[in-house]
Amino acid sequence: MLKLAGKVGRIQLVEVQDRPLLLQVSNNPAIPMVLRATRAFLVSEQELPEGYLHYLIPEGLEWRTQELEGKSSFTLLPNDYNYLGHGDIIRLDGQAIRVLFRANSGHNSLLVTEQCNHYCLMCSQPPKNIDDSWILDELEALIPLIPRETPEVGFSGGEPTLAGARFINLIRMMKSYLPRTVVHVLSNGRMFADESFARQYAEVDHPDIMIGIPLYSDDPDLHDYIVQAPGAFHETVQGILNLKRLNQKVEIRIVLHKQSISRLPQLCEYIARNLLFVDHVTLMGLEMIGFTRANLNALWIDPADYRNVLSEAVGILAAYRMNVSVYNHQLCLVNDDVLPYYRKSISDWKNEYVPECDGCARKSECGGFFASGVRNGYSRGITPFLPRS
Amino acid sequence: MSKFQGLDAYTRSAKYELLPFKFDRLEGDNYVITNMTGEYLEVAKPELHVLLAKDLATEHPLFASLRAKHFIRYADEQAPLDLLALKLRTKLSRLTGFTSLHIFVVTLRCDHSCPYCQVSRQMDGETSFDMTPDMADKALDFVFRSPNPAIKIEFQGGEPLLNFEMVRYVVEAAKRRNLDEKRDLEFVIATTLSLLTDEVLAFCHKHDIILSTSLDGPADLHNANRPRVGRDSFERFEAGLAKARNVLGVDRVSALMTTTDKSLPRVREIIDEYVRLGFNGIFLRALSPYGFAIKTRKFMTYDTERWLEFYKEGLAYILELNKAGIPFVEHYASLILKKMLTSNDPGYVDLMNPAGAGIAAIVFNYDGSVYASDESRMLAEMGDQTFRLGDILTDSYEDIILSDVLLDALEQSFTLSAPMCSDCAFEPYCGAEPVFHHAIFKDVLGRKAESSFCKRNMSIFKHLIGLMNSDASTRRLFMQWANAC
Amino acid sequence: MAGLAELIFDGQLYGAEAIQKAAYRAMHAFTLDLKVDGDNILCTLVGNITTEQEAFERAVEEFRKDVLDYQLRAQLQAETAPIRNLIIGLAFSNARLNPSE
Repeated sequence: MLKLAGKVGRIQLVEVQDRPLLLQVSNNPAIPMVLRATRAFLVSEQELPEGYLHYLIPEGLEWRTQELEGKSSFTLLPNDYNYLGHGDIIRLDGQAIRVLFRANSGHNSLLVTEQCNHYCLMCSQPPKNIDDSWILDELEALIPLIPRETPEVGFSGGEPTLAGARFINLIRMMKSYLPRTVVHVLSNGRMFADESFARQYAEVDHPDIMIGIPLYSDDPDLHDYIVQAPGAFHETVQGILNLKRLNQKVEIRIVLHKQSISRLPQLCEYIARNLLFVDHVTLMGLEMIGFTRANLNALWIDPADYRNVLSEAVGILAAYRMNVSVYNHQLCLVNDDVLPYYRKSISDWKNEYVPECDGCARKSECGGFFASGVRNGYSRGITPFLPRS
Repeated sequence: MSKFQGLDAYTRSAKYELLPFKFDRLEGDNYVITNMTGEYLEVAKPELHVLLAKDLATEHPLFASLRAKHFIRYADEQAPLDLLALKLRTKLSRLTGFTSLHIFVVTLRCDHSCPYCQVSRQMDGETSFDMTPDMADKALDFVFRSPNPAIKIEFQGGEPLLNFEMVRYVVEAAKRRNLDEKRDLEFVIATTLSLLTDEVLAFCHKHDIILSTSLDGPADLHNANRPRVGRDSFERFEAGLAKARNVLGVDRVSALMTTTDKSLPRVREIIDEYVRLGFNGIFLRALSPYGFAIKTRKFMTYDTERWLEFYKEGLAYILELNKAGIPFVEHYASLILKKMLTSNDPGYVDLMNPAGAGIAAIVFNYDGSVYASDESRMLAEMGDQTFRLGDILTDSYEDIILSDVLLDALEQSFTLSAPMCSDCAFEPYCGAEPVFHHAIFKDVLGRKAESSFCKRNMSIFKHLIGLMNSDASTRRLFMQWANAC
Repeated sequence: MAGLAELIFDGQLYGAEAIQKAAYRAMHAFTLDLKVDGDNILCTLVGNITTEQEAFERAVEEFRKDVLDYQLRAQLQAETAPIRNLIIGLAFSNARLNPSE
């Protein structure tokens, strides 16, 4: 798993740095001086080009600091960051680095705020009720730096729409600076129950944007319990309706655990009868991080035990010709009828496997596990596929 | 550090409100309840009474489903109302399209003499049973007065291919007009395939015409129903089918059966014949009352019961086929399932409310008469002109569409104000059938308690619900049928 | 020999309309003579000539269930009429609705 933030090694600054530095990373020694003046160069064994604003020296090449001693700003990077590459964007802030954007990744996700009006039992990004509007400042500085050929960017939180007009502004900036980049927003959708907010969002008229909204049950009380917010279900449904009235793309996301499994087929029928016009439905395996571990008793169910329920659910949505995808499940835990909808992975975090996977002939088709899953618990049903003879 | 609250904290305890729904008995004391848009649930009698008294406990296993399917709500919830309204609007939206199916009876001449057919006349030569170009032109004026973006023109007879020149005339004229109109135009020819020639097929291929043919079952059954000089109806059919598929494509030839009392003991064989000939579905049609003298009592009791056995046996066999991996659809069930399981309406003339007569389909007869539906025309051929709406050569569009004949029939047969229908739980799945009921009861409403239409449909509705409740894979198969385009 | 049955319904609990509707539903088996006598509603059920005794008796049993059902339906209909009109109003109003239009 990639480390995205942390302390760095030695730093030398030739200018006063009174605020965090947002830098595009380059490993191209041939770019013109005008561009080098705003970028960070990723040092390798090759000759060091002059004129960069900052130099990043991997700790394995520490000896190269001599060449820059007293001349240019540089930072010594721990080995964890050896994955950095051309086009990445980092923040250097005193002793710490944070990687904000990775050009190599198909799935950059930008955190908009850690505030949230939900408190989901299985939240992977536990909310913090603090003023973190500085994040919005940073995003507004970041978006213009993102490479224009980036295929997709995601926005998440907390609840991104709590940023109100500034959230809508981010979408507008995405349209302006990255008109060819697909945008995916994770939101509980409740803000869109306010028609004027929904309209402002629609008026941006982004060419390719989808809002992923969780719905965990057809029973409003059960949904509200899972997200720990009274009235959530109804506001979310209103938000979805408003968005679709305005022709905006909506995806419904369902995290599968003991609570949502209990009425999963009924939820799918509810979606098929009432929300047939949504653009996509995704069914996702549980991530064993964040609040999940605190609520394990209420949440954990072995996917091997719900494979038939998953088949039934997918069958219903497919019968109604809806777009369906199944994420975050291991291949050996789903029935064959789910395979047309099985997606290998939702992110490009290095897919990990467990000892039970040894010898499996279909590893390359399988999404494997998140590191958190490997660490914190997984199905007893993991079984390697035997090679076909 | 647990700031998490239990399920109780989110469980509402206020008294719930009833949303509009209807109920009827299924088997014994089990009821089915249906909401305004046809969603249903099975409820036992004691539970139904508790539900109606607003005493059903939140913990009751049915409670969440009653809420999700919009049978009950809490008074402060707006979403259930918005969603019901949305679904209702979707269901009704087909009405705004108005007439889509326009039937052109281009000739009464036919090379068959089927005993149950009321309409066919002599063989070749006699052109007094042919539609004239004048009538065709006026009929096309009428067609394009319909606001529907999708128009279907279907040629019937007799045997339309005996007046192929008129078919050609109408297709070419319609397409010319459509250059401006820009509708989604579809053409169908209803033919036995016995007179198919290369020239006809080339024309059909050029203009994307679909052929709708008849297949009553295995050769002996088919030939017994369809006498022809030469006694070779089936053989000609089979040859024509192969030729048509070859030129037009397998999806461009469909088959319909006519059910007679000879068909009733042989449903599996009939389905097998469809399977053998590569069709992917069958429409198990009801016995038509028009061909026989309308024998009310006998027709009603014996024949309806016997037909229901035929239907259920056929459907069971089809389910077996599907389980064995052979996709095969029963089309009448599909139409009903579309109404039960989705907010879409299949637009099937016989199962519409308001009735499909005139507003979904209309018939231009060879003699210039305009009829509200195919049944209306058949009734006229038997001597009853009640549903003749006018004459295409002399009457205007408004005269015909706004005629009292039509409007009265639509209004009086409207199920939501009809005795027995208005309270019936199955009303969302059913239709008004003014012509049929007029034929039997001399009144467009009919007495539903004695109506074979009512008995037949109600039995099928209950049967389909029972099948879905007993087997999840059947339920899923039915969902696929309901959502097929 | 046509079947014959006499039933008494408590007028406080059952409306004449419910009884009539139930009778309408049963007309394939019998016809009904209705008479109000104080608080009671007297029903005379006369089987159709073509209806056999067993079928008649079954029809009477169904009739009794139907009377209760129609009574409940009337109450349900009355109670939900306002909200039904509201929903229909929403369905037909131009504003707001139909995301896929």
